[in-house]
Amino acid sequence: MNRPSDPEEARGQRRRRRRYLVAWLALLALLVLTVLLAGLHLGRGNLVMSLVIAAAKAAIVGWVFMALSEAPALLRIVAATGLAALLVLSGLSAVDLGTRLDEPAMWSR
Amino acid sequence: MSSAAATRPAATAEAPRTDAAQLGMWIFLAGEMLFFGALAVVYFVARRHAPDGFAAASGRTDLWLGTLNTAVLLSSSFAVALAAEASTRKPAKAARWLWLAVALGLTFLLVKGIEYRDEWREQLFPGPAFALASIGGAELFFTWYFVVTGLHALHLAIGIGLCAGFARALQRGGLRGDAGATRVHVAALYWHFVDVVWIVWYPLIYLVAPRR
Repeated sequence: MNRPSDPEEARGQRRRRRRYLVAWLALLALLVLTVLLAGLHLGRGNLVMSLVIAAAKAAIVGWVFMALSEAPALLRIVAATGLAALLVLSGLSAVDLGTRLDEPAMWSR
Repeated sequence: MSSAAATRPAATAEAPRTDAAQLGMWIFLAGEMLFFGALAVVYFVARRHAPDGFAAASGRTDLWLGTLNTAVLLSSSFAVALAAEASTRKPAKAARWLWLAVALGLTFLLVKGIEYRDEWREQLFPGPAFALASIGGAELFFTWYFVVTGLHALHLAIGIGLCAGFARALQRGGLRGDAGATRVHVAALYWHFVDVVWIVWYPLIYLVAPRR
């Protein structure tokens, strides 16, 4: 592996630390933003905005902290497969729920 | 591939093991994604059936403690990222960042405990004396709330144990070299994932209805 004296590696480390700092500040800024938006009455917009902000925060953690930005294709594929499977399964659940208006679930009768 | 191996033999000798360890953790995390994802689907189905109950129940959660805890957990991820970065060459520094993450993780659990205590006192724990029994769906919300926050706390406690163990090992001269750094990196992946789970739970728990 590279030695500690390797200047290119040292630069890479400094660059990554800066990226982590920026990511952390962005995460805290998004947290403040979501609290501020929660004070507004936006109807469905409240749910949409809070979920969009949560998705942005999760993407920052995944891309920067979990290093998907530098990860080999294999790791990215596994992460994407997990996410895609989750979206397909929850999407199918939503299809079931959305077509149940004439067959309501037990607790909504 | 072969030309890179010729120029940097030492780097490529360790690389397959690093990749395999990280791949193993990512496969585990993909499974965890489905596990927690199923709980999110449960939430949205129940919330769609009882929007008023969910809004009333969420209004009784403590937005400020929840927000504080989110900030604590986001900061802990920053510390763990720095620990993983330092683990390759600066084990003492990596250990310090890991101890900071452990302290932040314990702070999260303490604040969560305070929330649980308050909710218990306000009779928000599901049961015969449930305070919002007249509002349909409110009890369902709090049942979901205690299940998912409990599961999250369990995951976090495991992460705290991992980080504390690795911090101790680094301070005692263990986990040296690339193999040691790989283990810290893999534990860091787990920690960040637990952070992501909380990022998703936060709006679902605290921000159902507009505050104020």
